[in-house]
Amino acid sequence: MKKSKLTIERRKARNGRLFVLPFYFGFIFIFLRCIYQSLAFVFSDVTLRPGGFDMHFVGMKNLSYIFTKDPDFNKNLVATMSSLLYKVPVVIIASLFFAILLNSKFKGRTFVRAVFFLPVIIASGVIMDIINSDTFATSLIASSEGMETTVSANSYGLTSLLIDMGLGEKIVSYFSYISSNLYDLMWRTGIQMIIFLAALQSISPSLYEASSIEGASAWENFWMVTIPMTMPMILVNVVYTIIDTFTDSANEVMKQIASYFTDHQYARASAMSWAYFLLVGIVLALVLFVSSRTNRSERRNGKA
Amino acid sequence: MNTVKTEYLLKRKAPEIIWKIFRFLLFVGICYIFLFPVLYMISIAVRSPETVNDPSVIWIPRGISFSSIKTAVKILNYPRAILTTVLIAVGGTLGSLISCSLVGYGFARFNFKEKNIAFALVILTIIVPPQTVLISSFINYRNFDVFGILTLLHGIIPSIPSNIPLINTTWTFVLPAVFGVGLRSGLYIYIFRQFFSGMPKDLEEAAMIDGCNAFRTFVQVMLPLAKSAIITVLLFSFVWHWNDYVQSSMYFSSGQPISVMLKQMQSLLQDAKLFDVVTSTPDEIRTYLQAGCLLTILPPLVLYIFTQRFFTESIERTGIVG
Repeated sequence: MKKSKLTIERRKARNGRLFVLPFYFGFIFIFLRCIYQSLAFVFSDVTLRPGGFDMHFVGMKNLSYIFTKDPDFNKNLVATMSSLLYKVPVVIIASLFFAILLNSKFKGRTFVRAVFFLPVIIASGVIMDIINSDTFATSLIASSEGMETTVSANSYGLTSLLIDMGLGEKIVSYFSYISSNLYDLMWRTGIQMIIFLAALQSISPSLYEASSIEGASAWENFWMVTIPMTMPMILVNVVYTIIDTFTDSANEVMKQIASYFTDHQYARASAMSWAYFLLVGIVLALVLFVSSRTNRSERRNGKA
Repeated sequence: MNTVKTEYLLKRKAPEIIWKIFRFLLFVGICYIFLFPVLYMISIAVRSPETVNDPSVIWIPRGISFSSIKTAVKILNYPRAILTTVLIAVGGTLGSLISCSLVGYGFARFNFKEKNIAFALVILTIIVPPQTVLISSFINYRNFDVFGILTLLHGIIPSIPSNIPLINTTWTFVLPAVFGVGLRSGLYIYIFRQFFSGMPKDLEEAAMIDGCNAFRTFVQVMLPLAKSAIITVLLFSFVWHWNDYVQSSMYFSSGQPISVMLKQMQSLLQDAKLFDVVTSTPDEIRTYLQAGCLLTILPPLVLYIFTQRFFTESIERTGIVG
């Protein structure tokens, strides 16, 4: 009996590896080939010469330079990290909210859904650059932003009022940050919203029926059915938002890395990017670890 | 009777109506934010280049002229550029769909020793932005060797080339996509993994008991249920391949895809003597640029409008009863 179970497990492991095989091939023969050179740069001194470059091994010199001698790297790193704390919850909550709205039935849904997909098409391309370099368009946007600054000026008065009312200063500054960056945040929720929409679509209506028959209100339905059923995709969105914020070419660290590349300081640029990726990796590993722990304990609670 | 009715209206109907009004206003506001660039593109693109600086016009042009769009089609070499882009986007999307659904299913449903490490590597492929490995990717694809096999064969039979140059071909996008390391493939693998792991196991077990092997179970039982994940990945992959500029500007030196052409449009206009940096201001070519933008976003937008209706067909009857 025990022996046959082992063979089933072995067979399952073999099948699993077969399914993952394309990725193994791609990773080793395409991805690794492309990144090994950049990784070699980290531990080398690279000097350009006509028609190529020379490199020789220098150990940890580049890495120690960026952490101890570079004036901006640590500062930029902290700035990027702290912007993450603001962005992730806001993007997740906003995109889930819009996905639920778009999932309900109303007139003109096709049109509104098409419009909500526009940021995905426009913001990921060169189109945004062209629009931003267009003086007429930017003046039109600026006039709407002028509106925004008056609103935020008002909200500044509101901020001090809220602080006077006894709300924590941190909480208030958090919300005023959100309201002043709403325009930017709206452009960033497109991907997450569509992932949520797909997740909501795959919840079987019979679950809602069952819980409604048991007497659950819409609010309880949301917490007892919608949230647990979309949990896997919430995780995907958290991971995606973290990666998107970190690798956004507009953030401080990425700008610094890009400027090093354009200065032909390949070794330092590579060292910087790898240190940065490692850090991103640690953050993601932490998120995934915590989520898998909570999942497991929830499952255990469910069984008990 | 009457009081009951008013009470009913107040308690039940009023919040619903307020909610509907709120939702409507929210949609109007957000639609304006998102539609702004597109409306702007349309408004500018249908003007003739001479009338673009008419100060009395903000949104609605005085006369409609398609001359800017016609010029943009010619300057961008639109049919050729679109053909390349479609090949990249369709090939890359299909490749990603096949490989990422397989890999995602493997991660979701099977246990093997190195699974967690392998999944960490998947995440690694999305953390590293393509910009940082661009140069070595270029070298890799310039003399592409099929997993070291070609060099080996070349040693035995000299008529076989030792490497294949893939630069300027759409294979630079399709090949990594087929092997699950294409443009943001890691994200698609993750989406599929999460999607499959959220599905009930009953159907697979039933299929296994009926004598289905793992691959057939995947194709015939699981894939049809993953429709919304497939649509999501299809849309993202298509749009990102369509819009990619960073990699395609590196891999293509002729017959470039539309995003690269659009980026170069100003200098292309200059070459065609339609624009002169010295004598004219960038405002004068605005109609051409916006026409180019409009031509670029139109195909993926049409694709989205056609595919989004699949989102509304939820999997209400998945076959699991009771």
